[in-house]
Amino acid sequence: MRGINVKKIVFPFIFLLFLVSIQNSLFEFVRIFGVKPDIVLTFIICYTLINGNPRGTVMGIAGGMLKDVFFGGVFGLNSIACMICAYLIGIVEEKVYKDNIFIPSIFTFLGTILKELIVFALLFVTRLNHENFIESLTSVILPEAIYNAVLAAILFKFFSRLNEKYFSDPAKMF
Amino acid sequence: MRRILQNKLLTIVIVLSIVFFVFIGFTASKTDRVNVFEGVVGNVLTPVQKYLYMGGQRVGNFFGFIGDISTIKNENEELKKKNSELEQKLIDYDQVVSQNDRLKSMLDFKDSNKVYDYYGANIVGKGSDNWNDTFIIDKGSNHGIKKYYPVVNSNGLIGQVVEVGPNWSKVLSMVDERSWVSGEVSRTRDQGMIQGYSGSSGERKCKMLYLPADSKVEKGDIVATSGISKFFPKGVKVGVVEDIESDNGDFTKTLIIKPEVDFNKLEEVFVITNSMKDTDYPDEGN
Repeated sequence: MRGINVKKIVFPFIFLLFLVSIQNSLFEFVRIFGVKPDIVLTFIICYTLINGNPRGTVMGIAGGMLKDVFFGGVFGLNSIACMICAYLIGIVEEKVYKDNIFIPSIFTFLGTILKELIVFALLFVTRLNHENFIESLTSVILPEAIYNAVLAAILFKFFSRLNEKYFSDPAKMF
Repeated sequence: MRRILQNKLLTIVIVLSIVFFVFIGFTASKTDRVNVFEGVVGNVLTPVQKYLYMGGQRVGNFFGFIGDISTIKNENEELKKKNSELEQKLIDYDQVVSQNDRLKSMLDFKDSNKVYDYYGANIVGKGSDNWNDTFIIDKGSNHGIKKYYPVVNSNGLIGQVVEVGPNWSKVLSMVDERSWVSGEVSRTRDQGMIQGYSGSSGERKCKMLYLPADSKVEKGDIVATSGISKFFPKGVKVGVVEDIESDNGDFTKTLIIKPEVDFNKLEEVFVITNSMKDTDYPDEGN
């Protein structure tokens, strides 16, 4: 039994914290048509694609909870949505050939739509949202999904290099 | 082995979903203070975000400035014209005020306008996604901020404090569709409810609902808070009427209001700390 490298377990979460603060501050200034991308979700999806399931889902839960801290009013919407999104992507991840350059984008696109649909459904169930579904789909969900997919295409290489260097644990945490 | 692990994970995911769902139900019905987790994370991240947000603001402003340089000249001309106009008005105003004072003292009239205490705060971040228009300010319960306190800046109403942490608070902006403010068209004195509303292209606007159908409101009229609800003081500017829609049955009118505040360029805000009395708080069963 080799010793578990604590640094490599903690680093991804520190990086996640960093992304959350960027998301809340700097990303406010890159809105296009009133929609801003979600780098936290993009990272969760990329991380899951790289590391597979137990770790992906854990990252999904952590990222979702951090997002919920800054979500006005209710706590838990993003936690559920990000967790389920990461879990499902983690299941599919084993079965795809990941070296294709479009794979991260496609997964991020579909993952964002899935996550936002879950959030929309939960907002609807808790009656916090009265918005029209089609309008939300075209004015929020789809633009954000496209935006995130572009972000994933740009950042996936960077994330996976970061992963190799600082995140991945040879001692297999799970 | 992997199979069992996967099933275990599925169980964990389902259990956590239920836990979070219960949590959503719990926090949706009453959210006065942030929970422990939110408090800790917020306290750690708020200072970091503050600097990032300020940096982003500067960069954004710089590029905005370059883009605007051509329009600045025209604007300058217009402002000069307006300035002279306003100076003229100011003279009139002074006369009216002195006259008013004189008449008031003659009538021994009690001043009904309360003087409000403003508490300055910086915006340190926005809600992290596209579903809501909340933002985070760097003052909290340590500075005497409480839930429901109205938030304004020099241009007018911004929103309302919805959750308070030790040194940070969440503000629900009035363009969020969960926000309701009682409002009044300044010229015609017609009253209605102002709700946040996002246009199809992502512009932040408000809707004013339940206006009487015979209202003589026109485009360009100024809308302000009416002071009927206890949460917002009277006479804070909300915005300008941009469009008027009539209901099918012609029972009510709905106004589209363009807020006076530029929600994309918020930096400093003021929390009004003495507009609400302790007795004004709604009974929430806690």
